[in-house]
Amino acid sequence: MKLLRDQTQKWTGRVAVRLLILTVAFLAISSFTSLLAADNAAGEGYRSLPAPVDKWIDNRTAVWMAMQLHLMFAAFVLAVPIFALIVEVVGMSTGDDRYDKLAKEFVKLLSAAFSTTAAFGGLAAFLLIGLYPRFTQHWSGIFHKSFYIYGLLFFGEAFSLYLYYYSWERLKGAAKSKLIGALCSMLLWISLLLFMLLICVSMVYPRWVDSMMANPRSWGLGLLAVYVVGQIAIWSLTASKNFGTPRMAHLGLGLLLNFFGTFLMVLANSWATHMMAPSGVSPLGELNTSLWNPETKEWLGSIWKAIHNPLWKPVNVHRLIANVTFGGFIVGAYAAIRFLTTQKEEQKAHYDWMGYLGNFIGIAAFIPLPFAGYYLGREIYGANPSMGLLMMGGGFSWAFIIQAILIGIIFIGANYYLWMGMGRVEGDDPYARYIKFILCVLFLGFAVWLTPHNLPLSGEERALIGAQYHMFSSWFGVMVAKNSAVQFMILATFYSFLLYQRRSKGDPVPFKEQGVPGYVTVSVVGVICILFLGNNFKSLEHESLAGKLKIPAEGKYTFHVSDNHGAHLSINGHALRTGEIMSLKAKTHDVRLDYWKLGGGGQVALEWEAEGMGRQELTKEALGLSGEKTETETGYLRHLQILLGMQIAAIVIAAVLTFLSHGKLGQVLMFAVTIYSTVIHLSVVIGYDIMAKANPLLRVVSVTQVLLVISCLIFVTFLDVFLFRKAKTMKIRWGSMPVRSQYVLILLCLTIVMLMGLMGFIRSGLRENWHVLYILRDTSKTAFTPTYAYMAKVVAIICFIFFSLVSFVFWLSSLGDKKAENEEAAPAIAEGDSES
Amino acid sequence: MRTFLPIIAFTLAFLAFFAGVGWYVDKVSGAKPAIIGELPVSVESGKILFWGKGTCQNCHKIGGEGSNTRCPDLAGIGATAAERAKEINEKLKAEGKPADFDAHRYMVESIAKPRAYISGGFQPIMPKVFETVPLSRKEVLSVLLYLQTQGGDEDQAGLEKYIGMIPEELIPPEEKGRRLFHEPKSPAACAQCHKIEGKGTSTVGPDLTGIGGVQTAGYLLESILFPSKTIVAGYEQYLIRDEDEVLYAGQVFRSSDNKRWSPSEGTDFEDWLGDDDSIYFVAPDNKKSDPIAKDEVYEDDIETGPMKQKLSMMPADFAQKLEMQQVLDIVAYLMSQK
Repeated sequence: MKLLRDQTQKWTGRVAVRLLILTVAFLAISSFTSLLAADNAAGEGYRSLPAPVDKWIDNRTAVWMAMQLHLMFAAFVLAVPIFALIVEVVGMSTGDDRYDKLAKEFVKLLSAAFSTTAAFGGLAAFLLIGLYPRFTQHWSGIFHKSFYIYGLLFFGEAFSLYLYYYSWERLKGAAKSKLIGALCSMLLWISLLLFMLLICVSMVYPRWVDSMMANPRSWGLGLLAVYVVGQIAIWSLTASKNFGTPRMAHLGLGLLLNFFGTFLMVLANSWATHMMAPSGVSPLGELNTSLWNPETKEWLGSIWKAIHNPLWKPVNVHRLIANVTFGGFIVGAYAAIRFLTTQKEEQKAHYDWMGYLGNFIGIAAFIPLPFAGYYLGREIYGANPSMGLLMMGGGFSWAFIIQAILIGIIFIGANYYLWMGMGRVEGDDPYARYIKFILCVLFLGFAVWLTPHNLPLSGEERALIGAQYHMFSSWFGVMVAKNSAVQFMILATFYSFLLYQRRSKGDPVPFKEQGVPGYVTVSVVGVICILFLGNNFKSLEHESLAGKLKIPAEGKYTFHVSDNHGAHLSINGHALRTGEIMSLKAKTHDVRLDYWKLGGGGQVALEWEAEGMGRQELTKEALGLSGEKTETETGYLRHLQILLGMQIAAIVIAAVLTFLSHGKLGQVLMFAVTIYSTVIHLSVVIGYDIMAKANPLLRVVSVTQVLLVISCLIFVTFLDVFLFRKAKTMKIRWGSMPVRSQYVLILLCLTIVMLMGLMGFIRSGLRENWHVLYILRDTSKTAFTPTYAYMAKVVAIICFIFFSLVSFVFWLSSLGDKKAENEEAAPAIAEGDSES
Repeated sequence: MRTFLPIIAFTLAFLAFFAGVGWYVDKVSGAKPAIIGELPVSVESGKILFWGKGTCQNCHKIGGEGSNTRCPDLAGIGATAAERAKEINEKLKAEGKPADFDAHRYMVESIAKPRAYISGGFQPIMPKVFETVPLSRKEVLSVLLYLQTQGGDEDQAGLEKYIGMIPEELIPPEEKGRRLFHEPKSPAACAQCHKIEGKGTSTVGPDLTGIGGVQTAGYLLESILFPSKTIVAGYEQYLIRDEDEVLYAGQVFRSSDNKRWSPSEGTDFEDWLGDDDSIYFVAPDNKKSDPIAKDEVYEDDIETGPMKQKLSMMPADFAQKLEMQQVLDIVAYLMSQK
């Protein structure tokens, strides 16, 4: 009892000291923030760093480095809890204690990393306040209310982190009483609901917030009902275990930690994305509850509208997935370093297993990342077409070539590690013969992705070819080829995964042995995939209208297009954005309107205004718009619908084949159909034609490709689970991996960190010389886009600092373990232990 | 430590590889580091700006330098400009217009109005660089000097004839707003009715000195676009009739001391006016009426006083007269008045 009391006092003391440090840090940040007003009273736009520091580093680079380092540590602090929670749940469900120890080992790293994150956040905030007072005044004017919430969430994350870590061993075993058991399960369910609600409103349905604000009572009652029903269900399921277990409370704390961390991330994301796509503010950037909207003649505006800007949701989705990848690869690199630096066989086995797990989670999250990236890119185009063009076709296009190199390294490295991993499994490798084909796909895909559209050509070369672009650039440098190449690389990597999993298993068992869960799960997942694909049919209902517009008098005309799914208006072939002014002569002009009907869900309204006539609706009849689609477009859309139909048919046939115990054949069918549709048909067969003759349709081609690949990944994964669920497990020789495999893990970590630095430069640089796009101009001396050499140098330095500090954090956290490590071996994984 | 050395070396090698890729991209595209600070007007400065801060190399190349082909190769542009000028002059001659177009104008105009001359086979994608990058007039002049030397001779005096097409420097919104506010011929000409910074004589509208310190931008935006929504006390519009029942609208002033009629509760118009005084009106167009003696005012209106109107004296058509950006510039100027 005394021991328990001593331990309790010890950890509560540690928590108190760390919370005190965090409180002081937070108060320091707050007090500096309050000084902001005084700074701004002077009306200064910019200040310089104090001499002689200003000779070595300029304002922008200082903020850039501090912000990027803060983001990298923040990603680490957010990624590790996600990783730890997943691993803890796997440990609970499999009963394998190794997972539990691994999860705890990583959470231990968090406390030092958490303080470093806060320190860099504070430094970045001070630099902004000190060097960019005009911007910080503007920023705080809009978001100051969210700062207070951010501060409180920070406390929430600190409390939940320490509670999660220090209660790890205490919250094990059976509940001492029914009341305690019931409370434990309540904590889990409440945390889960909070986390799911946060994910929904920040990444799926932000409009729920509008609904919540409009109907708080209904939402409150609805959520209460969900909670009560769920809670009763949990209690009824755990009635034999005192209505819950302490472990449930621990998972609840882990979820709370993730809830606070994710909440902090999405809140900070709103500040960054608002700078790229400001919304909910006046054209002067002022947040006002009675803001005038010149488009709708309404007064609107709220902090929620500023947060819920067009890029907030896609960035939230992208960062969450990227954080899981980041966490997985960091864990992989940590394990690799420990593997390389230990001489003990048991420890090598442990860290080999840890590296495998880190890589597995990293790659599993990395596979959907290009989809999230595509979604973000598309929204950037949508929010501001100029920014989108600058990104992919303008000054930042080279950055995407560099990005392709880094992503190529990740794809090839991760696959290489998986192939080497097959050597751990005893017996001959029957799948080795496939590797050369996968490697070809990866290298060819990489080469296509790397091919720039504007490949330099000399005058002689151009004269020789007789075209502006080299044949490689004109075919492989365009998005049609690149999209197909990426889809093929994703499918190839997924195939490697399957081979690895299969290598560690024996022959699949007859499907009927999987019982009812097998039939039900495969059927349900198949139906979900079919519904998912079927829904896309609607989005392929597109209408192109062409007509004539008679302009009564020469002048400036403003056109407004309001639609809900991306309509395009063009006059005399010139594409117009909504609200764009065009000078037109008094004559008849060609008008074209493209929009997506979406099964009746898509609507479009067209208005125009000019001096003397006000704003009027332009009806289709007034324009003489006819709903005749060109045959070309109709034909292309039919192609897409047929491909979706083929995929649906493939899912049905694959399910039937699986039920007849020919699941492998079903998987082959899924792969064959998906590869044909996405890689061959949508590029070689019709992709280039669409690009040349019906360019606006490319958007739906890309979406269709993504849907086809996602449905294949999901359905084949579930088929695979039930093909090998009760199959024989092969023996794995953990620790037998070659040294070069560990360098691959380190390389993956280096690459993902570098990629993060590069993408940070792109995302922030796209605003060019605006602090807040088209609202607050950057008039400082450094208001220009730095060169790639400079960018690469700065990002490399940032990464070097990050790796050094992370190593320091790892070293710090291992200090206390040194003695214990010498006395007690790492969790033993004897040769022959199977993979879970 | 020795066991860590290969790992550290591997990490450093990878970081160096990444830095090397960045360096190589710049080598291929021709980009050069920007120099922070002002550069003298010269060919050399133009070269630094073209390949650096100006980001011209994002789209153009010059012969063997750079690689981007989105926009024309500018090798020989000095000579090409002269040829283009010749072609334009021939067209002008054919139209019977004076053929005084020269190569300098072609070069300046190509930057000032990027869509004025589009080379065959290229898209009109060039922005006004002095707005997007932004380059000052001196910096654009340097870039043009550098381009002149590509197949031609440097001629600063020739370029300076037309360089006025490029703004001297990027005018901040506050300054644009100040000009709109004070210049009598601007479509806003706010100073005709408002005083600010001690400038202006009219008292029809409130003195706006220090307005940025007490009002929000949203309020000012609303006041310009919807002036009747909130009318500052004392600046309302009134109606009154004379003995012939002719209606006068505007602000009412007492002739003896030019004091504006601004009733507080219980103020009696007849008492305020006195026996031998007269009134005059300042109409919404800022015109002053002839004095109207007390006994010439319609008798009922003497008793009830002038009728306060819900409509402001301020014109309500600024949304039509001004571009939205101009309204915002004026608001920015007013907000800078603290």
